[in-house]
Amino acid sequence: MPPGLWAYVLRRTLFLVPLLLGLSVVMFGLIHAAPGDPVLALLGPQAAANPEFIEQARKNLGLDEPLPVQYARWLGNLVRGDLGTAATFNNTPVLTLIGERFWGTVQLQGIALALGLLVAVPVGIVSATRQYSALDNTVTVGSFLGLALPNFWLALLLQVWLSVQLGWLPTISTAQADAPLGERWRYFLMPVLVLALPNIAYFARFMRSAMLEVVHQDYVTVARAKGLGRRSVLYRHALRNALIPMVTVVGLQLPRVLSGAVIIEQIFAWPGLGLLAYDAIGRRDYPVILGVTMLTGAAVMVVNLLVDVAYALVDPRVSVGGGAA
Amino acid sequence: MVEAHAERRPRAVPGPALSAAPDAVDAGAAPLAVAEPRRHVVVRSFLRNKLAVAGLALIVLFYAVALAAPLVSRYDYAAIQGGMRNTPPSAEHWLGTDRSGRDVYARLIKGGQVSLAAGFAAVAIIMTIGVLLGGAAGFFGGWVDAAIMRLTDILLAVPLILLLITAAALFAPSLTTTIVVIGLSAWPGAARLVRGQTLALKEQEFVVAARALGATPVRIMTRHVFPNALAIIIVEATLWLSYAILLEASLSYLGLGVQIPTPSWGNMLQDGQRELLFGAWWLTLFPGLAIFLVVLAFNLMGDGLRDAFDPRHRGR
Repeated sequence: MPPGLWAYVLRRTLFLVPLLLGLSVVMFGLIHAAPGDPVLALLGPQAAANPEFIEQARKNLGLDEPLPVQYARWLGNLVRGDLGTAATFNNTPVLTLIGERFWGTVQLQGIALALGLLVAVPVGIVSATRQYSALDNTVTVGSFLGLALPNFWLALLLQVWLSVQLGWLPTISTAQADAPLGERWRYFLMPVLVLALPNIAYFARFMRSAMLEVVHQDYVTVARAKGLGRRSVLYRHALRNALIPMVTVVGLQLPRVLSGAVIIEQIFAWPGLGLLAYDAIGRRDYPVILGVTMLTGAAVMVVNLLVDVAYALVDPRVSVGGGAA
Repeated sequence: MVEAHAERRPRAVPGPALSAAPDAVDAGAAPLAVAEPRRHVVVRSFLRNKLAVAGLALIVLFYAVALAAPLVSRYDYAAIQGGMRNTPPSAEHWLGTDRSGRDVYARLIKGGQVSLAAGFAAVAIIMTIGVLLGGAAGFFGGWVDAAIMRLTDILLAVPLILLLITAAALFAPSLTTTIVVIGLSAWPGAARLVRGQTLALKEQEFVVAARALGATPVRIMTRHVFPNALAIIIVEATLWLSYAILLEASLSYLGLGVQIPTPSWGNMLQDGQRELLFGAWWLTLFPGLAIFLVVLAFNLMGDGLRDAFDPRHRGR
């Protein structure tokens, strides 16, 4: 690790504190500015007939106090690692709830990301080495189509075709976690495919242009000129440098990997964070919404930092001086 | 300085970055007079790109149909016909009818009006905020820059769809809410792009010269920086249009966007989903196909515009 990097990491890490505070103010403010009444949403419309009952519930949830007091209490608990309890999820502690769902999301998104890279990187390389060939043109058109395809629409059509009509795959994934290991892939197949498709389209196209950018550099010409074989130049000189920008591209996908795909999880009833957030929002369960957004936000900020560090490590041209990024 | 930071921008098909440098050094001083020939070059270069022209044609077609709605469909989008529930496509109803016996073709066109207009309005908000805040951050630097950039850091840390469903669900969902929510949540990516362009242009000789001649910040921004960043802003806006239409569809599909009875492509998908189980595929297929084609068209056009504006890419 270059010497300046430690100082840079330390400075960036310290800077996460004000950023997270800012995020907490934005999200807390947004959620409490909303007109909906969480107590009514929790107790149902029948409870509206009994104002005393509602008042008591409001007091129990601490919602009768002024907003700054509520914020201070919530923040104090947050610092101590207590995200509150989810009133609409059987009073489960929010942290437990998120912990349960996080794994589901990371499994699904991680596989989709890996599959995307596995397919797209070779495709992008081959496409770039045969620029304007029939194959290259197919890849170009294919990436445009893949990026424009609304993947939740594809998910709906696949679900009806493969599950409802043909009965090949389970329609929804609620039973996924309890299924025997040999059976679990059947639950993963459709969501992974649907999530990987835009990744493949995007990565392949990016890999292609990164590769094209590199093969026109002087050092590649020099390597060819000194008599190195085409394969050796492509894979030992060009490819290694073309892969560097992919670090950023994969880093950009990580917020989604960590937060889950709300719509795809909803369509397949996938027990992940995206579905949790969606359900919590529908039920006005403030602690859950805040917990998911804060943890995701923190994770994204940390991952951004790691991506920047990784970038400095793989690309010696990048220096890490200057102010906070 | 490491700049691998996550910038949430539309996932357009990536290509080489546009160069911010103007063709002529004095292009900023008299943008209209000098920009004319360059415009011809750009147009010619764009027209040579068959895919981009196809995208443009598709967009024009969609807007023409949306505007001429009463002329191209026989039925009213809200008219309920008893005894015509969930009928498949036929000569009478080209794209079939929905659960309430409404003509899907008429609803698709009305939904297109709503979705396309929502996309445009949201992008107008995104680009306005992005240009104002990004321009201010890049131009003034210092604490203005720091404050605006930290705000974008915070907003970019929350995945966009999470931010959108939170904001859309907490306020009463409607067409206006959808537009405002998308506009107010999605601007940081655009602001960062404009900031970067402003920073690059600020150091150009013609801007330095203008400042030395005593031009005010407002004049420098509006007459020198903005016209030269316009190409990139247009490309960005085009790509955001496709993304905004997808976001509107996503929100409406989740029931948090445009509300029935007003049709939009997203809520038509949501509405048709239940009927899909009973074999009414036309309720899901056509709205999704419409979203697909429009997003594709805007992406193709945005990509063609980027190449046409970029001197390094012309004629390839």
